[in-house]
Amino acid sequence: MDREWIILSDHRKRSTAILVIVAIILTIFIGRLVELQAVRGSALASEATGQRLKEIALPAARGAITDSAGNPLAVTVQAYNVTADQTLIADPVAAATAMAPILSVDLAALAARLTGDRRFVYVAKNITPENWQRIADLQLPGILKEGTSKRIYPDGSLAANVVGFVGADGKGLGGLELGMQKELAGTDGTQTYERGQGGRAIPTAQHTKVEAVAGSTVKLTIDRDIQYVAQQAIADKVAAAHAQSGTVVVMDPHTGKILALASAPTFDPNDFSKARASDMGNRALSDVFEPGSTAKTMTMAAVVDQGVANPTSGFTIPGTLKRGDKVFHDDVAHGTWHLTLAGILAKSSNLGTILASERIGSRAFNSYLKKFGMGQPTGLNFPGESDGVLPSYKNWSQTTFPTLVFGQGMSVNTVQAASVYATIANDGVRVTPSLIDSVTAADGSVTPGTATEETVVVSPKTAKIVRSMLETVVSKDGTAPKARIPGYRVAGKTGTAQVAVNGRYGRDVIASFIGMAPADKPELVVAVTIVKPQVGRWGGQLAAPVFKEVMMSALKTRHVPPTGTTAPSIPLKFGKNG
Amino acid sequence: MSANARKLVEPINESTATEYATSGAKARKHSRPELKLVSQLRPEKASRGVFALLVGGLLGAGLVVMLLINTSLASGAFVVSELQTQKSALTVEAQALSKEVDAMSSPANLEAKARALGMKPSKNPVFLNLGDGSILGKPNGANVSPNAPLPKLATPADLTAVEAVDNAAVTSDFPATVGPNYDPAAADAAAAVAATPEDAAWGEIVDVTDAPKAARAGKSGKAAKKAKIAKSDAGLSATPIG
Repeated sequence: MDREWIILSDHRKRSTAILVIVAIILTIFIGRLVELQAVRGSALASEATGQRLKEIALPAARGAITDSAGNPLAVTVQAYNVTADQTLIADPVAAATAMAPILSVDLAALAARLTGDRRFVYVAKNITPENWQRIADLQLPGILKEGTSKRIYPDGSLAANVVGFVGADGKGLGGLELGMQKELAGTDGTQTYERGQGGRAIPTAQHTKVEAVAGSTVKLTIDRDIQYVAQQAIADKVAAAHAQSGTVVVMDPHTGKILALASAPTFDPNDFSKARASDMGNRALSDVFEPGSTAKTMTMAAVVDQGVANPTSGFTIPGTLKRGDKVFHDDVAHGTWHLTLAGILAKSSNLGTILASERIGSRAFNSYLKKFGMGQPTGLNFPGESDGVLPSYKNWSQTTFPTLVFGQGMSVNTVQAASVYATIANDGVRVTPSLIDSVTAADGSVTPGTATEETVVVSPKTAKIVRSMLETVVSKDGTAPKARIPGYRVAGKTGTAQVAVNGRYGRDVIASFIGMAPADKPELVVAVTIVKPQVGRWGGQLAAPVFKEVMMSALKTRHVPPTGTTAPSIPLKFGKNG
Repeated sequence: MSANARKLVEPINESTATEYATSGAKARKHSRPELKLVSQLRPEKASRGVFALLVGGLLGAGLVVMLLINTSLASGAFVVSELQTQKSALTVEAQALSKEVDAMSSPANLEAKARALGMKPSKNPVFLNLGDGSILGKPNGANVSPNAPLPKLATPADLTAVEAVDNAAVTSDFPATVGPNYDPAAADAAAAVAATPEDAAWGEIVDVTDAPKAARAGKSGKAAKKAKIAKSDAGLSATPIG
């Protein structure tokens, strides 16, 4: 019995012992399980996925910039960076000899770049896919590629000062590349996936992809063909006249669209490492100057619009005029002149302009200047744009008014100056200039460019009269017969404004000509400025031929036929001289 | 059992009836239900086997399907990466080709090509009235001296290009009337241009406007409305391009 119990108890003891041990082990297991699954579970799981999960950025393609016909002026293409693992290159000299002609780099420098024990060095950046293919065909060990993108400008310096340029990171640094950075850049996407052996995505595992949204395409109002002629013409003239710089603006006066915006000297946005910073901006918008005689058109328009004179009204102009504490002269010394209002403009007489302007007074004149857009932004929002200066009316001194009427004492940029003539060309209605035709998003939706505003500055009748007066400027007796285009009626005005240095006018001038054609039904306005010419001086002599060349080309490109009418004859003199 | 019973009353199925009678006699003779139970167990065993087979089969089929799906997904992943490589290669090719086209069609290149063919930029803008062959604008020759070396002969490709320009020109409309300020001197000059083949060949490229602008050239809207659409042959004969 006793023995039996022992056996029984032993048996029970044993099973109890086993049970306890098993329970302990299970408790440990469960505890560990709870720890791994519940306590540290999510952390461990994310660590595990983290090891497999790969996130890559999907860079958005930068939008293109095109001309008004859709010809590309700036596009982004695939490019490659060539990298090297120096430890894998057995014979750097041989590798360098093979690659140097393709990369067109110095052999010794390239060999040095390939020698060493670094696992990753850049050999060349932004090479074309064709060149990468040639390198890949060499099958050099340790030479690898890295995909990247490159901004190219197919037409080189064509419209470069409008389009601008990008930096090494592909972001806009100048021109519209900078001004339209937000629209052009698009939104980068991301892709996350779990990768298996060999880096390929595991198909059944989690996979998220946020597609990149490509940048918008920006269509400019620029016409590539007119732009080309404008750039060639101004570059040739700047070189011939040994001038500091020059600009040309071609505008459609009815829509305010800028068809060409040329600046010389210019640069090549594909390689601007050696370009001068001053050549990379847009002088037609950033450089302001005293308009000089071209501003007399505003004065004449104001005088005619106020009804105080007509083109044949006579003015007796003395040799000098004293206003305030200042004695005013004309460009050429003369005795008493008897000129009509048209004659004053044709001969570009400062004193005659002062006398005519005094019939309307300074307050009315100031309001006309404002309506013509003087001292105000052009509305283009171009990076680096300068609005010019129009002195505030309350600060005008006794000499301010007589100075402003012939275009000194204020400053404008070439686009503002062109806009004045566009207003006269468009029957007195000023349409704000525009440079962006439309912006097309990646999804195909089209946003029109900046809305244009229309301001009535003078009456259509005034505009017509002023145009006929401007036609006398290009007559034989005017200052710019060189602007005449056979078969067409041309209206325009010369300007030869002295450049002020330290408050005094020096020898340097800005020669300009701004005009329109056909004069009786203007379709185009062209403004030309040449800054500090050393050979030649007068607007009629330097700028008028450039105007003629650009205008003829633009008339042909835009299919503007001659109107077949003849210019009215307006007497320039009156009385016994006339 | 009940089915068999029902079959009993059907006179057609005689064999079934006989079978039933036999088994019924046997049952009465031994009267041991255990044996019947065993016989009942047999079909149960068989249905278990079928069930196991079914489950096993389903499992197997599931595994095979899983394997197939995984294989096709994996091969799909290969195809995707292959196609992506192909796509990027094609994109690169397309970019290279359009780069070439852009370079070829740039104004600078076109000007150089045209000059190489012996062409010169036209001077004054001149428009040809296809209706009556009159000239708007003042034409002037390109001043090519007759002794100047002739440019190289045009290739068929060049001629096709010229033809394309011609065709583009003659399809334009133009009013048949001219404004009152029609200049006879201009017409004479045009005739002179046409008369000297050297000049005509490399001289004025006649610009032909589109209808709306041409309409404006006519003095009145009425005149423009009356404008005849020039026939292409008439246009060609009036075109002083050499």
